[in-house]
Amino acid sequence: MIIIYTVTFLLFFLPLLVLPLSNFIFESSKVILAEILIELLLIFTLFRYPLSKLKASLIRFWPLLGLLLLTTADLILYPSPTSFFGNSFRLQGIFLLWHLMFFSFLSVNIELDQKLKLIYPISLVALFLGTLILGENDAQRAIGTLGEPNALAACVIFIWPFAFLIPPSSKKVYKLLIILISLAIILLSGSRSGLLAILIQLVFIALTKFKPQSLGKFTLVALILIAASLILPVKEGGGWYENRSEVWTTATSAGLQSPILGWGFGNLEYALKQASSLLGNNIRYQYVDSSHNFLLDYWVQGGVLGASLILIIITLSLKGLIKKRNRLLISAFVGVLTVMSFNPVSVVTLLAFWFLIGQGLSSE
Amino acid sequence: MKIKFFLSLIAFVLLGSLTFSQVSVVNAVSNSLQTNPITGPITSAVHILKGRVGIRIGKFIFPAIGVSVNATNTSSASASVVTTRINSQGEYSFNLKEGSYNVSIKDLPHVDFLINEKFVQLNQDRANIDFLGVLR
Repeated sequence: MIIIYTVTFLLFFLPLLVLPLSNFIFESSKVILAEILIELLLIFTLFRYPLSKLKASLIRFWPLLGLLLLTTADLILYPSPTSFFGNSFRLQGIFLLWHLMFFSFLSVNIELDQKLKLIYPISLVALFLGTLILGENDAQRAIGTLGEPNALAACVIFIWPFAFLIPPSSKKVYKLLIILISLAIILLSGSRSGLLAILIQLVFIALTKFKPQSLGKFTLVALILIAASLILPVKEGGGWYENRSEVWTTATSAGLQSPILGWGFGNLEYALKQASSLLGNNIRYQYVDSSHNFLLDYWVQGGVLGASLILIIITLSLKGLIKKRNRLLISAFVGVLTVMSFNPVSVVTLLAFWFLIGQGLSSE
Repeated sequence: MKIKFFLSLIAFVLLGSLTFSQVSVVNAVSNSLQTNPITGPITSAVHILKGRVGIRIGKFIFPAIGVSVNATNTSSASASVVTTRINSQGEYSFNLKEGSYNVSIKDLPHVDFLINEKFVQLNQDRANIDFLGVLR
């Protein structure tokens, strides 16, 4: 039960954490608390479960082991001030990535849908209240308890399918309310990727409701929609700050400079800075610490090896979820993949992402 | 069992200390930003001109989406055009060189803008100009 409660807290209540401490209001406090709780989970699991059982589970997680080896090698081959802990704003270095991979491994046997149905709508409503209370950023976009508009929208994208598909009430108005609250948060945040993600999720949920036997095909449709939507920022062009098409071009170019092993995990900002100087674009005047696309992040940091490993992990995980016919987790996964394709994400969404991977890779 | 518990405790204390050491990483950067003297302005090759286009209906202001905004350099007469973004907020933004600009917007079929043209001297990193229209 301790494991279930901890995982539930990390996924649905960590997003609500806001500390009134100057440097730790939003993201850093969430990262540190998440890491501490994952460490507790790890110690508890090692203490509780026989090693033989853990060894058997490890075989299914071989791509994660590959990533673990790659990141360890990076610490030796490409050390930098941000490799291990990441930069001070996000703390998304190798240390956090290791924790997330362990979290993925440790949450294998958790079945959230069987427990505590009220948790999901409570979390969503609390997020909505936080959005109303905590106001907006300079661009008049709601930041909520996440401190950043796109991170707020990404968080909703993971939570709402749980509140929608595991309803504590059978009344139709409940489901309508969940959609309206989710849309309200996303619209207040002004996150286009969030809006796109919820639309893809709604299409997926609607299609699989009418033809549940074609879950695999509809998952493929959702993935094609995500891939097709990547053209939107390129088509839009323009934009003054962290322009996606410009960042993507810079990231692609940075990866090509070190295509096999990449620049090392945690070294993204240096790679982007150097590539932008060569390309002579606007990124060189900005502090950009993300490619605004998770796959490009892995490409820049881990080269072909890193990008292939994360693709294998996602493919195996989605296949596992399709095999288990888990419509809820696939819809959450599709949404998370969409937002991760356009934005740097909070630790909250990274936890959701690695949790979904763990669920997909588990055998049962 | 006791040894296992003891080892687990040591492992947690070590890992926890490492995790909490990130507090000093965050504080160090933050303090250095606060206490370092600023020796000169942070220069940027580009200047940002941005703002919003809204339409007032009754007491509410709704974002105007897909409206073209022009920025014309008063000395070189070079013009740039952008369209307010489809992100429900009616935002637009330009990436411009330093200089003075006339920023203008055209009336829509059923909307009159209270002020169609505004002048801006772009010599800082950012400038903000909003336009507000009313229904005819």
